[in-house]
Amino acid sequence: MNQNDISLKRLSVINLRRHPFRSAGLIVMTALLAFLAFGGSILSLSLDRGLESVSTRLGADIMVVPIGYDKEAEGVLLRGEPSYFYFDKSVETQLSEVEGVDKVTSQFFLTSSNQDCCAIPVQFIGFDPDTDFAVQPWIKESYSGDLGENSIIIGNDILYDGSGIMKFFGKEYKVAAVLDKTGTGFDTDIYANIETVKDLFEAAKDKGFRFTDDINFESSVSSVLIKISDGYDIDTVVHNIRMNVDGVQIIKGKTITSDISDNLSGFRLVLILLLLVIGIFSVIVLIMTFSLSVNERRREFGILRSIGATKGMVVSVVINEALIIGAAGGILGILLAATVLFPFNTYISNSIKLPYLLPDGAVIFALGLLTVILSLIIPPLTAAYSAVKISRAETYLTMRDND
Amino acid sequence: MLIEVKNLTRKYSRGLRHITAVDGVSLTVGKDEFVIIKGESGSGKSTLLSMLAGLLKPTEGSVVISGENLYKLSDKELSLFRNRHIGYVPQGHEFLSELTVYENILLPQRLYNKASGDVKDRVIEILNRLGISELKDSYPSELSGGERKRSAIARALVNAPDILLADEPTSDLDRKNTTIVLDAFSEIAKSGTAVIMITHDDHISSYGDRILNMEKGKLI
Ligand SMILES: Nc1ncnc2c1ncn2[C@@H]1O[C@H](COP(=O)(O)OP(=O)(O)O)[C@@H](O)[C@H]1O
Ligand SMILES: [Mg+2]
Repeated sequence: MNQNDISLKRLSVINLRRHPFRSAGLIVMTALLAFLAFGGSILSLSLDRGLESVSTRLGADIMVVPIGYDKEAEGVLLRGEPSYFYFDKSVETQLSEVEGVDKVTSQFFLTSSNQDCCAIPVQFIGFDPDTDFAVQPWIKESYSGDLGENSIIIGNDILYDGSGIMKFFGKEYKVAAVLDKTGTGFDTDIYANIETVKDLFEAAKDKGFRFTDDINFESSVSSVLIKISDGYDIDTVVHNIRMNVDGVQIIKGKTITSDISDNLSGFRLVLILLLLVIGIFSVIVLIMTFSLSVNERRREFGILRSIGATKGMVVSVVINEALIIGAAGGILGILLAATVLFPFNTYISNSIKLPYLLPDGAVIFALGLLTVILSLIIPPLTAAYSAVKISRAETYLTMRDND
Repeated sequence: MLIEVKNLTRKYSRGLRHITAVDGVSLTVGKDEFVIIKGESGSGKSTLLSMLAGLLKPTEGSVVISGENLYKLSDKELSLFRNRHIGYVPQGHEFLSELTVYENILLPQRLYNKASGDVKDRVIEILNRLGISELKDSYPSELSGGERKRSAIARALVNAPDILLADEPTSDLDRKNTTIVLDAFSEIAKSGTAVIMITHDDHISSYGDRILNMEKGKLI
């Protein structure tokens, strides 16, 4: 386009440039809104998904751990804080006899802060392939086939060089698969069947790790996972367990995430309120600014009308300005949110100490699109009143010097 | 007849009082005519002229130009008609201040058309005719009063209208510039575009095919 060629679209740009600070202010404000809407919804969805994956990975209705160790168990599941605790294996049999219990399986926990492998401490979880119903179903998503002896499956956050081998307590283990990211404590877990964990346990003992001294591997377990029978509700079964089994801490699969869910609703409420307050404030500022800016240019719009511009053309000049502001602000806000959320994904996930899992690309794209669409709709709506008002005014009266 | 005005009336309300700024004016103007309407300030000249230009709805009466009854047209039709057939030179504040003189003059053409080489030649020709071609890249704020008026006239002529309406185009001009503008109007009328200009200046007498006097909203 030649510099001397003039069009209604260029008038909008010229008008925005005439007040650079005002225009920049409106764009920054719109960007802030888009940032909050896009960034906030992704943050909130990520936390939702994190929680959801805790529930599905737990894979059981009830988890039973030694009494007094519920906080540690939560730490293992939610925050990836490795821990170990044991009680007698006979508990498993006792639990299987409780009314309403369908299946039971036990797990054996070990930890390592092994310098060979891991910047972060690692949680070993040994499951019993014969009775397990909780771990294998979703392990299958990453690894089909039986997990043989000395084979391990590692969580997504475990530092691994891809060589197929990892060393713990001086012994080598075969890495069968790397699990998908869950955003939970499971990402720093290493799964193996109970024989392999026994091997690890012995290796740790040989290396002189004292934490294993006072327990007998064969007769100890760390947790028992329970699936309840059809027709029973969790609370009834929990009650039955309390009546029949001593020395255990009962963790309901749902309640483990419910505290966090409560916090999340609080967070969401704050986010929505913030959006609402800033949104309303922005809408008011936009309405006032457009009203001011259109009024300043009454005579110019009068001139446009006098040379033959229709009402629609006058409206479009104003609406185009709003569209430019919305597009610039919306895209800026999304880029800003993306710059914060995506590169610092792991950092955010670690620092909030909550299960955190980014939504799928398609969902992120849809949210971005929605944010852009809203940014393109809201500013023009705020300009619409002033635009229509000036377009309807009697042209001659808008051109007169007075009023 | 090119212009037929019948019983044109416009009232303004100022608080509770009603002012009849134009009071039952009837008038016909032919092609090629150069009509000057004289009258004191406040006699209703600008109100009348803006109604002729399709810029102000009459309270009563009608304006017919080239067979079109202006205030019976839809906004789109009237806007297009104004663009094609009416050139209007307002009294002061003629331009979009962020555009150059050339861009301002081109704008009426560009509202409904793509830019073309023809119209650019035409703009240059009009600028030459009015003796302001060297101002083409100036901004309106850089112009003198006379230059501004001539530029506004150039813009009014860009779409080759049937009629040129000018609201006190000479009021801020010195003798020399007044003569330039009036000579231009005579020539424009001769070349087929009717001209109606209004003035409160009594000294303009050697110009115009017809001079009408306006008093208290009526032509006498
Ligand atoms: N927008 C308006 N509201 C109220 N009165 C107006 C308005 N415009 C013009 N008038 C009044 O109408 C009369 C005619 O004004 P105008 O057409 O501007 O006269 P002229 O151009 O001859 O000076 C004057 O009394 C003026 O005060
Ligand atoms: Mg006047």
